[in-house]
Amino acid sequence: MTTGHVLMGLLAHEDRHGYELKSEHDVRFPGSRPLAFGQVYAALERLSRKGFVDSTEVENVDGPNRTVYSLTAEGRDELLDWLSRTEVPSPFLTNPLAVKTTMALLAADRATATDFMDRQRAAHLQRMRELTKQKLASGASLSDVLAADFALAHLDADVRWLEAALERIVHLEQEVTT
Amino acid sequence: MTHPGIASPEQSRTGSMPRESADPSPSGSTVLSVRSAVYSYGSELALEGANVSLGRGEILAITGPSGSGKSTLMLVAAGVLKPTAGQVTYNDRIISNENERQRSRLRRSDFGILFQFGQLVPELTAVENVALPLLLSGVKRAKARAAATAWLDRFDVADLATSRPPEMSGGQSQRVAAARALVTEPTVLFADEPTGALDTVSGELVMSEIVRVAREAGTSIMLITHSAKVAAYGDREIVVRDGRTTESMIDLEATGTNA
Amino acid sequence: MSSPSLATSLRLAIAGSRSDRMRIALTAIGAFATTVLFCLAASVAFIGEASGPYRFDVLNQPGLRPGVIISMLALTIPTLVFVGQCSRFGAPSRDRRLARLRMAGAQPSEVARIVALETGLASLLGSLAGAGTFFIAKRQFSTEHVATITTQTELGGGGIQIDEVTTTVRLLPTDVTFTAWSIVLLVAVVPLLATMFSSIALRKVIVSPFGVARTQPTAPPTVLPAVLFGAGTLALVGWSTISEALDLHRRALPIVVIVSFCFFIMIVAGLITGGGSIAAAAGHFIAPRTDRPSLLIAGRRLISAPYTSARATTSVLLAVFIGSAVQATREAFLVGTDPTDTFYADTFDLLNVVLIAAIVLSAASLLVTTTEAVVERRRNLAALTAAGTPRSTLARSLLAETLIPLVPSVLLAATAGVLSARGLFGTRVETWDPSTGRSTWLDVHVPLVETATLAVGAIIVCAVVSSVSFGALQRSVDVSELRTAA
Repeated sequence: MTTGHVLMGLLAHEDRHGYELKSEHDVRFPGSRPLAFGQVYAALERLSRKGFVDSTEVENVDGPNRTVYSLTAEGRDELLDWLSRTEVPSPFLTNPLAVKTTMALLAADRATATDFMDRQRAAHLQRMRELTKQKLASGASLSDVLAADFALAHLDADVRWLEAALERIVHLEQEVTT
Repeated sequence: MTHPGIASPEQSRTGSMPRESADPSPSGSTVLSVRSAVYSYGSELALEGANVSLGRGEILAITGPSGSGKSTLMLVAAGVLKPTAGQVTYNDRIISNENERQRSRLRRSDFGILFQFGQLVPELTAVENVALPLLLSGVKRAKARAAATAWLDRFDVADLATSRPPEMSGGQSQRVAAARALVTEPTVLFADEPTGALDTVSGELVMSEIVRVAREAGTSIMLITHSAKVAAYGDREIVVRDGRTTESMIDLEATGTNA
Repeated sequence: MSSPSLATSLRLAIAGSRSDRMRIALTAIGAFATTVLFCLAASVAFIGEASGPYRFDVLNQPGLRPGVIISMLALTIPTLVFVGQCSRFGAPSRDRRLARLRMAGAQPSEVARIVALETGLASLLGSLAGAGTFFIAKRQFSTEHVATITTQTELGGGGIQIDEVTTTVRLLPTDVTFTAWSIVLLVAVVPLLATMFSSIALRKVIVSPFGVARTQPTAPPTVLPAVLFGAGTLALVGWSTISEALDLHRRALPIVVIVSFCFFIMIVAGLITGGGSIAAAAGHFIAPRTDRPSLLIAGRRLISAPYTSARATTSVLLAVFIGSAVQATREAFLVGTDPTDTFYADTFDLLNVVLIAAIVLSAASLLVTTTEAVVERRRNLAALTAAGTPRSTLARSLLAETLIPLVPSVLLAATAGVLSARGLFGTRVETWDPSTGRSTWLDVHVPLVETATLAVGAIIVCAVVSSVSFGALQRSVDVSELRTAA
């Protein structure tokens, strides 16, 4: 996935200028990091070179002229092609949580590790509560709910991994002591 | 993102709670408390010292792996089981000292209980199932049915009033069961894996409706679940491991943003 | 396609839980009782010229023996029904086991064979024990006593000479001999009948890998039972008119017996098929009107499964119907009889003992049904109790479920029994008074007290038996049921 494909997706229904693209992205994906302007313009530049987007100058009475971008036929083909390809399940998952838990087990004693895991679980749950509240809030849009669902599912996976890890530690302990 | 008019207990206590306490009283008044409860099924020790206190209007999640004793903790807290040792207090009543008759009456009048499945009488219609607790308390038929219909409506299942449980989907029968658990306007709702038998989306719908209705009525909920996603509907979490409770504390360092 | 060996089927038939063993034991007990009754009937049937005399005069009269045999055989109806009921006991756990066998690849016919084998083996055990007990008892009681008995000798002119003779007698026909074939037949008949019944019962059951579904008619017939019952009763009440119209007086006795017996069968068929309708009608009447939770639950359960309780009380109803008819017949026979002649009174008393035994045995099958109904919904009952439903409410609902359809059915059966017997034997009897040389007409009393005692007694027995299943209720509402995910 590239920023370019995301921007092409946002141009699929409507022509937009750079700033609109940035704010639309941030609204649609409330859970992800906001796009920087530089990123947006660099990506649009690349798309333009490949012929995926066209740009037109629009006169602006109040200030500087704006460049409005639109999706070309090639761009639409590329977008559909990208959407039809499955995402490769990441072969290398480097999550700081997993790394830290493993390190806690290796570098410190079991009590330290389980203590860390307990507190980590509590922190996760706190975040999950916030996300659940956002989801239940009366004004929540579909994007909000989907983003909260995505985050909840991932945090839930973390919590389940933590629980399984704790159980494995107990099992290992029992095997060693008996 | 908090509910208007309802204090969010975890926000008020985040910065100030002492970590070492087993189960500090939540903000506001305590409705129900379990102190050092022990319970055994024959020789099998299910609870080995559990502490819980539930605040008025609070939604408290009790989590833990299967077999940890969380369901037993709920049954002890709800006065279904009499603890082998320890104390259960509801308002100013020490219910762990009361006999089955007194506790049964209390469960009928002040508590609502919601299980994973199998609590509706299969031969009764939805509206009769919901009216049952009212009839048991001596409410007349017409009045009980009217109240039951209103509660079915709150859970969006008023159109199922004359259906019987075997004709309903899992989500529908849990909504009816929730309406029945809440029809007496209980002070405390005990819910043991209320969405355990449902798929993700219908489970969420049932859960959010229970939470919405309970918030409106100011009902406290003791929510038993093994799932963090369900526990996230609560204001606070208590983890049960091997029959013992530990408060799941907020780690300020880890969350960073919560101070 | 190879089938599992007999040994495998046998292993699967007896592999089960506590309730399965309970069912096997109860089936065996039912088979035991039935076989003993068959043996008793057979020993009366085998009484020959050389046998006797016996203490019980009724056995000495060849003309009365068929009645004794029929009474014995009638008594096997409730015991056979009991054996049939037993195949339903503990059914949920067996159903799960059968479903798992299907899931593991067993054919429906193989599953059916396992069930038939289980019932057959259990009843064979009971039959063997029953026959064994009978023959041991036969030997034990075969001692002779000295007693005074009456003998009847037919005289040439159609008169009867009655003598009192003091002689050595046996209490019971323990001196008759059984042929080997008759013993084999006596041992085999109950297992064969039980296996047949359970196979027929299982035809209504679909054992799928996902569970067992019973095909049950949702709305029981109402018109047919009412017509059968009403027509049968009316025909017997108006028997004198009918027999005149059909000129039955002039016909041979067997035809008269067959015609009247057909009307009796109509009443019985009406009672059997109408049980479900009465249950459903009572449920429909009560459920939408009551304020009481116990009656609401009982009423709704009657609507959704009208045959469950009706099946269990069918044999009670038959006993009440026959019993009431017997009371009215007794009145008709005794009204003109010399009070010092106790022959009829004794015979009818013996019949009453048999009837009471029949009612008690019928009630035993009710116990099986109610206990099973409680065990089957234990999770629901435990959840209701946890939510604060008093056990007394649940107990009352169980009792109501038995009594609501039973009371009107028993009243109908008793009324029909009395009316039809009075219709058949007349409400007035002509007696000849030797002192005046004139015949007088005497009114036959309506046996109100006897019939009421019988009907109320049957209801009380059923109520008591149904209350015994509260024991199962006490265990079933245990919260540990909530921990087992079914």
